[in-house]
Amino acid sequence: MKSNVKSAVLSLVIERPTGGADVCRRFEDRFDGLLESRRNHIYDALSQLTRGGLVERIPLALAGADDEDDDSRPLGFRATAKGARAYRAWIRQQIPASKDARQEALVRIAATQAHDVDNALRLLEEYERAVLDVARRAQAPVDGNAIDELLAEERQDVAQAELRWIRRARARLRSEADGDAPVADAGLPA
Amino acid sequence: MLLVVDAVTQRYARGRRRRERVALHDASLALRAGELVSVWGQRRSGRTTLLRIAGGVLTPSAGAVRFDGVDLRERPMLGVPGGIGYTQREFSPVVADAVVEHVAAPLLGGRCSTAEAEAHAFAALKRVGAAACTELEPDELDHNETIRVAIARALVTRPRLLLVDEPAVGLAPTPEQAGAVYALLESLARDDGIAVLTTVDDASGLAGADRALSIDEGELRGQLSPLDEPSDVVRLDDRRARPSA
Repeated sequence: MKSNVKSAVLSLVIERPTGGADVCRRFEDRFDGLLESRRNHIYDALSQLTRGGLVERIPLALAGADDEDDDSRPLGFRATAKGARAYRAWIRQQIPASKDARQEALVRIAATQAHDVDNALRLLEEYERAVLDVARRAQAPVDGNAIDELLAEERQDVAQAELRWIRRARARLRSEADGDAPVADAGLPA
Repeated sequence: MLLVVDAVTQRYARGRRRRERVALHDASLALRAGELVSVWGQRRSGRTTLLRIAGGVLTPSAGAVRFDGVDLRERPMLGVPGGIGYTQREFSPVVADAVVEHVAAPLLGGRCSTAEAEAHAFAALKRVGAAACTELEPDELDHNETIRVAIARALVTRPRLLLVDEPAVGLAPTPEQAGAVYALLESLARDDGIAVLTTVDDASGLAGADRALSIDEGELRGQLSPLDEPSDVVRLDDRRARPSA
């Protein structure tokens, strides 16, 4: 899958088979600030995923969705085995070093299933690597002015906060894994 | 590679009935000459242990540290000319009074006369921007001067690797204070070709590094080895370079 919006939408459908409006709501909550979340984009993504055989339509009652805005739609969405494989391939794919690596890692962390601690920890490491690289480059030019210096400081301060969050997130994921051993890919269609 | 920390683990025994503490867990790291590598870590992350092991101050419980290809257990390089300089902020009044004497101390006992050692010490103090501290006593120094003098003392033996733990402790997080010390470390790497390994607890200390790493619970993360340099351009064989018919 080339589009992160499609992959993110697929992750939500895998997490819980549901109706389109519910996917939109959860997309806005989960990927706020990371991916553009216009509803028409999300419905487009659902259509494309359906056409590609990655998700399928199912009766809403089966999906167990509480789709108040969508009474006219009899069908919800559920991931197919092909969709689950595509999702797994995407979430496991290594993130190439680039200026977008930080954002890319964060999108994938947001798209990780709650029980999939191993992948969450691995993505956290990729995110950390990207943050460290941003921090390393957060330096005002030698001939820079006050604005250059302030912008460099802003990037450094953000990196500091992100590194602290990563440390906390890792500790929490590990402690949850210790209490409840992760089951790889549980809940996904085979 | 100038320094290789190879799968190092460091355990500290604690009192009876208490579990030992693993300060460093299977940590690996490689540094090239003239490279500045900064490691971000919070207190008790293992950052100081990492530097102490990299300098040979501590012998690891497992794994090895090699400087110039030689295991530090076989040939200690700490304080040896062309070896490793470890920056320590403590200045013992037993050793000397004036700052210049403290900085010169690592050179005494060898072939250097006191006058020569103090000349080298003055040059090192000048290099780190602390020439004005020459005649002061360590107690009279502020945080900024203390770290600079400590770096000068580590530099006086002309090390190829400099280890600096938390250079910005006690300094304001401003370009004039902490920023200036980080800039000094960068200049030592860029201009003097000294490999510098430093730990920081603020991300501002990572800016300008060739590589930025992190350490947490004794686990080191990030780009642990330098990226491969692009290989030299190879001349194509004339015959093969011709367009095919």
